[in-house]
Amino acid sequence: MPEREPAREREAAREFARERETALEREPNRAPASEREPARKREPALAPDPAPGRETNPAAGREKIMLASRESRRAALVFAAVLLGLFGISTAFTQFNPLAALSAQKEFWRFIFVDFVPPYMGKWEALAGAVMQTLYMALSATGISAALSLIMSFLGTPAICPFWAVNAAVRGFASILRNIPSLVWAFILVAAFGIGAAVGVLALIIATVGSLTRYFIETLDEVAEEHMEALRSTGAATLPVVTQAILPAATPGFIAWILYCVELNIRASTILGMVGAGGIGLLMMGYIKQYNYPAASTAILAVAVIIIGVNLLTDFLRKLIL
Amino acid sequence: MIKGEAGARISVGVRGAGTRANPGAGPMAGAGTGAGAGLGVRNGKIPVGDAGRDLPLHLFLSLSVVLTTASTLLLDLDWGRILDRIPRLGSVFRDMLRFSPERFSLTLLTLAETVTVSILALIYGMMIGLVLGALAADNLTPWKPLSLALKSVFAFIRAVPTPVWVLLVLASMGFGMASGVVGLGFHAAAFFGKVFAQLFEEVPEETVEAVSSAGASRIQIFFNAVLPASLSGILAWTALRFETNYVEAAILGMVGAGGVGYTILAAMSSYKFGRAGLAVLVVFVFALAIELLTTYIKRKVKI
Repeated sequence: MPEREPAREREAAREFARERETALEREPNRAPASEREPARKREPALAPDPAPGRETNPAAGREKIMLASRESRRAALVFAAVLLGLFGISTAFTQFNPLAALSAQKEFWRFIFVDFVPPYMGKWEALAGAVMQTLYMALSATGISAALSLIMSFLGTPAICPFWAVNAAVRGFASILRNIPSLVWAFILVAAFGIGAAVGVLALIIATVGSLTRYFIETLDEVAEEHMEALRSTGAATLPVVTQAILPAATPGFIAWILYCVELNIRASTILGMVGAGGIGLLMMGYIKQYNYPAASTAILAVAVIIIGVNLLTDFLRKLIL
Repeated sequence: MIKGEAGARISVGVRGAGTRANPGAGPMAGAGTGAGAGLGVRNGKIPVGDAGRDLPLHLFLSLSVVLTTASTLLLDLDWGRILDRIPRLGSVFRDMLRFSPERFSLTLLTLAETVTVSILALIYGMMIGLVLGALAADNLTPWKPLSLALKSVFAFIRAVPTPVWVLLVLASMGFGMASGVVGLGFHAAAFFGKVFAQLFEEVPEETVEAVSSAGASRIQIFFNAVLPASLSGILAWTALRFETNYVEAAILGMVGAGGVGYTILAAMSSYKFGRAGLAVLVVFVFALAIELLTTYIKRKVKI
């Protein structure tokens, strides 16, 4: 298995690493981890620089060089304490006993390695058809959402749309769309449209528009922050600044997010299929319900193959384009 | 952009070999030579595009338009029926917005189940992920093939959607929250194993070397060099995964593992839209709270 297979997490991580400006613009070729190390080393919290973090520990009678700064150590302590508290409360509430899980694991492995093996390879036409339907759902939903999100993000960023109320409305709307899980949307849509692939596509579009609008707005904001003032000072009007500077600079960011959403949507469309939206998920769920485990295991393997395959493809595209 | 690109192409054509030999410097070369002779500037505009450089981008954009259109057509949806039923969607929304407090305590109880399941799966997954991540990281692994094997297993586990794992666990452990914790934790452990391994690998080699040259064992290296250096990353990933876990746990009810998802499903399928609407609102408010919390954390803990 290739080492840098899942690009979606890296994308998400990038979202977190916001303080590193418009990362895409700065590092166009998505340098692999080893090449990015120099950037990390400059950060005081991570640097093996003994001077600022040096603390003496009189109890032990020796000097200890702190690798993490005091703030990040404090953050880690708070973090650990919060986790411990939550862990206690949750365990008390759910009465979850890890030992029970351990004792049940034999059954679990037997189930996976005996009932599911060997995968049944017949009926591959049905399988291929279902896989294609899942891919169509994901691609169609991503493309449509990208177009919708582009328009919404223009209305949602103060750099392009100067009306505060419109910005807030768009952001709030996107937040509602993305914070209700896509499966819940699917159930609402099923109540109106009945079961079928249309519900899957619409649910995917709703959830994707919610998150893509947010990501697009963030990208536009970052780019605008960098370029707006410089360009405005040359006397350029808003429209040329948007079309000539902000959009071209934001395009790589947009593409990265769209690719990320393709990956997410392949996964999500499989899950939506499990509740009746068609595609490989529906096929797999049908096999599981019929206790036809060898056929189900073929479907599960097919899901794994398309997801890993799509991740590899988007990784490749990212390297090619950005 | 397209206009600018055309401008650049024309200016290349007119200006000749000098510009063509250096397509990478397109806009600057075009502007520089053009401004002097007044030729590269077309309609008083300085060309800003460069066809050669933008080619993959344009190919990608047109390809995605083609792919989207093709997949939408190939899906063969009955658009007429969808348009016909949009009024019904409106009435479903209206019904859902008439919140009904009927059995609200059950909604809250199942929400608490969902939240606690996601927290437990997060914590167990994180603990397992830390150990496996250390074993899988290139710079820490005791045995290279083990690292490769672990990474492949992580990739496979993560590629199979969580509800599938939960279904498998349900079949072997029976219904209940424990199955949710195990199934979700299984997926989370693979996720954490992968991202933590990557975090550990990004720890500068010098840091590891400094500690190991002082005679530290592999375990001491891990606790004294690698772990402190990747603390902020671990924190950020955990916060991110909490968001994912919550959504996944909310979904699990729909494949039969309890939680607030089941409450919504049950209410929707018995046409109690008001009750379902209130449950969806509760799910939404909690998701929003988590989103705000993670945004706060990532602003506070600079990675």
